[in-house]
Amino acid sequence: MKIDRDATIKKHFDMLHTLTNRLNGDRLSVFSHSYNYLSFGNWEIVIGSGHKEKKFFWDGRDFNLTVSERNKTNLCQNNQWSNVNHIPLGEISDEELFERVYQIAVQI
Amino acid sequence: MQELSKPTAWLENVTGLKLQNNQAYIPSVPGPGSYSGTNYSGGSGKKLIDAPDVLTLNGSGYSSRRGGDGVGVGFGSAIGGYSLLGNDLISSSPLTTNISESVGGNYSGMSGFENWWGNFSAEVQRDLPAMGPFVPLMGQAASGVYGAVKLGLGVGAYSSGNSMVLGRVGSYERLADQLGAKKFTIPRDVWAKMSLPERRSANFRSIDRSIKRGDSFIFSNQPSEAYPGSGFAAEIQYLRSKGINTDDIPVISPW
Repeated sequence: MKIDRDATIKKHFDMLHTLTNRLNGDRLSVFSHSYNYLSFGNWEIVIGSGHKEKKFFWDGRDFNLTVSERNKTNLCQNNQWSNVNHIPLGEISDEELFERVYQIAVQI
Repeated sequence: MQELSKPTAWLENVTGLKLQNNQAYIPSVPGPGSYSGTNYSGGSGKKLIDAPDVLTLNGSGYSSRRGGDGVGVGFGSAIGGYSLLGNDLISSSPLTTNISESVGGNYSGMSGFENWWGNFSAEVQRDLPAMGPFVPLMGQAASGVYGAVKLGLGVGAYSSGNSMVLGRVGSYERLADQLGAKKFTIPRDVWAKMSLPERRSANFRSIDRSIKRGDSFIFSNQPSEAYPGSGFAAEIQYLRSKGINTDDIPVISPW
């Protein structure tokens, strides 16, 4: 099958858009996001509510989802990411991956 | 950050570079603790860029005893385990030409230090365009003396693309971009179409090319942080199979 770079990139952002909308219904927000198609399609999304945040990092090279969290009480304290959890997911679809992110995020 | 109490002068016996504190920053005057053009000049007159070793401050603040506008200048690398407080340089430092510089001064407050730092940064960047990334790391010692460390990553092997960064996904790409070094990346769709053996082969080929070119390697993570079965773990194994001692590869965290 022919590679369609633009379709792949668009799909990622569509999935992110859908995720953002779903999370809004749970009073959660996507605070930051980065995506690198050229580097295995790695991405990072920070989702939070108030002072609680979870960071999701997708390692598209080894197919691991890394989840970490932090509580922000102010700008200086407790801002380190902790409880880092590496979840090997294998080569799953974008739909499955974003569903996994959603399910973890709503536990915030 | 800690204020350095010794040595006031120190001679590295391999490179012949002399490190002194309490030296003023004098861009136009080569010598201990000063710059010479785009290269550093040690007490022996040797250029640090040619040195087979590094002097490492390892993030420690170096504060001048001169106070005021006196600036102590040292040489070092952010890599190794050498501390100016007495560890053996030779046994702890990897072979590299990376250098960093540590400077500091006595100021009455953080705002004074920041003003000085801003001026100093501008001066160094003007005089030493080859210095590359300019990364001030500031901290306050218990004594109230502020120190700063600048990584001179633009000088030497790391800046000219003749090094390759390996590590865990998420950090090695970032460090490679920061250093201007090589990295192994493949677009997502291409990666998705490759089998595991093809992926490993592509990865190893990139390492082979770097070895053939004589590139140096840098880790963005400790080898112990490699997940079993991960690309980073495979890279470490491959390097070892090529006779490369991975313990000698410097580890630098992206900033």
